Amino acid sequence: MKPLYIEAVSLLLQEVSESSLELKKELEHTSGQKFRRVNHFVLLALAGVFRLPNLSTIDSQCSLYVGTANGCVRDVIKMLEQMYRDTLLPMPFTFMGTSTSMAGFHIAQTLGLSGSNLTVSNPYGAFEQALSMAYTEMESGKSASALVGCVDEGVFPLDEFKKITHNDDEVVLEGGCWVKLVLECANPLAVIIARESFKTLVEVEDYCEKYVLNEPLTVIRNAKSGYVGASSGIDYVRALQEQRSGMIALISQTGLMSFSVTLTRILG
Amino acid sequence: MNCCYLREAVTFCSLGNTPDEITHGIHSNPIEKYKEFTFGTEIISRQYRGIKDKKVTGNDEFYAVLEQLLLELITKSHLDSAQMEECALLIGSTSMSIPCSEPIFKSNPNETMLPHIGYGGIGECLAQTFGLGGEVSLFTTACTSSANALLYGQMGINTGKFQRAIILGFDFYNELTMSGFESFGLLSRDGCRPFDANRSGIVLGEGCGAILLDIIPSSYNSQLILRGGANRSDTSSPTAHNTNGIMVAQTIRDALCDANIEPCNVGLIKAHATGSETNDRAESTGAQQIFSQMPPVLALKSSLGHTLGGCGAVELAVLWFCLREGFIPKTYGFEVMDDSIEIIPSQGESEAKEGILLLNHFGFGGSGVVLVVQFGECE
Repeated sequence: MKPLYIEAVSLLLQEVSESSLELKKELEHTSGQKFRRVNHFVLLALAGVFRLPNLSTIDSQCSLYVGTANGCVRDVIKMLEQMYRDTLLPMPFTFMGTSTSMAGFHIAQTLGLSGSNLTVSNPYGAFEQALSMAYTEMESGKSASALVGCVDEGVFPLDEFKKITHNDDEVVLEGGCWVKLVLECANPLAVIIARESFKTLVEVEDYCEKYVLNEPLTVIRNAKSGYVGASSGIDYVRALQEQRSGMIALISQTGLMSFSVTLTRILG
Repeated sequence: MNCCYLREAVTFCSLGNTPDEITHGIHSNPIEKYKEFTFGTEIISRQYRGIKDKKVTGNDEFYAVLEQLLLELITKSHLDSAQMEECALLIGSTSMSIPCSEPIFKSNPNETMLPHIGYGGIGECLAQTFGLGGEVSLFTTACTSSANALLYGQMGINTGKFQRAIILGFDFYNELTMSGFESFGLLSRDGCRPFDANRSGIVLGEGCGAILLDIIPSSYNSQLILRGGANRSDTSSPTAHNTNGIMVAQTIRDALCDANIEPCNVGLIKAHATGSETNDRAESTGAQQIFSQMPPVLALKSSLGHTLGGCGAVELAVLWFCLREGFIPKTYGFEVMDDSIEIIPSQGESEAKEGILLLNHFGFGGSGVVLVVQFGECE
């Protein structure tokens, strides 16, 4: 397989907020642009992307993979409330906001991307799904770079949101993580050296043991959780940000009898 | 590189729920049916093509219809348990579980939370029901959702990532979508007329389609092979592709390149053809930049309605049923050529010939997916 380099990573995590004001302020600062008529979900995605360095040099053919567990739930609820509780005429802007792929649209528009643009999910880990698809596309030579991320937003009332999404955390977070993958890089953070699929977790663990041998290994597993689909992606990005050497095994369930492992060597 | 065959397909749509019903129904003018829905304080009525003899108005019916669809696909495909254990499930939809939540919201207008949050649950539930053990992925890219699932399935089979995948595309009736399209003024009051000078907008439809992509050919005499495609993003507007057609042309060009096909070898374009002026213009302008002589063009949405995220799977299944019966259907609704577009879609049924078919899909969010399909044996 071709090595895929990780050129940059970013995290955006915040306590679930009803207001989008801080996100807009941050985006104005990081992107130099003002964003109007975009919803909270899109702002979370954009603000996360704009925490990545060197975006001005991004290739217009860079692919974009946005993972999400729940999508733009707030605007779906808002539109249903407008329709049935308030009996208001639905507004085109609100309807557009119910389309989760609008996050990908606004990222592509802001960065001038015209390559593949996908919004994807998976019952076990949306970030891993996005990463896996980008990996497949790049490995098959269809793309030389990809932005891969995961975004989820919280919804009020939080107690009910926590109950429905099986989230036991005291502080509920929203946001996500981003990774920029490239085939060639002068100064990479890390390199993905292998990605394999297996039918059982035992096979995954055996593979890691044989492959990694004596290198220090950080194991990150996806955990089925109502909270952001990026839960293990966040741990993965944190490890990439904090560690200076060693390997990371991102172990993911991808289906009922399907598991994958992505092995990443940190280059410091 | 593996060849990606369509091994089996099942679809439930407005024309019917079996290949016989659908190929019989598509010989006739579509029946005008209307749906009433709440729009602000009014109840209004617009044309709508609901699934024949089925209603999805809540969680139980949602899963019952999808389970029936998958059961028929699995039964007809004769998938054994070992094949099921490694079969991927790739789902594309725009509305996802909104039809499950909406009736609860409607009857409890002070509800503060969606009862069905999250996309993954749909995939997990269906995979568990049928023991599908492979990768479960969900695509939500508006009207290209299940076309993206097909494209990813083809890529997965070609690269050996998996040997087979069930592509499930669906969109069921919900008032949120009807109201949303109405808020844009996009819904037609008198029928879908793709590429027609007197077009009046979109007719929404309901449908679900399941297609088994496999390294094993189908048992039918004529094979359909998914050779490749492309997904490209047009960022000129969140609601439609630019009418200059540049990104439509780029998507077609990249799809043909991916499938190693020259434009002159395309024998049929199954257009996206929603019946909206912007889509007609962008799609035709883009295609004219690629084809010096336009291949025959077919539009299915005037028969089926626009099944949104499901249209990739539903329309491919319907087209395959017709090809197996030896014909390419007529495009209904077209009467007067738009001089500024100069596309005349198929005006009568014609004989299906082996060759290359181009399947166009364009949607909200600037999403464009073009698939390249070969009707006939793998080289």
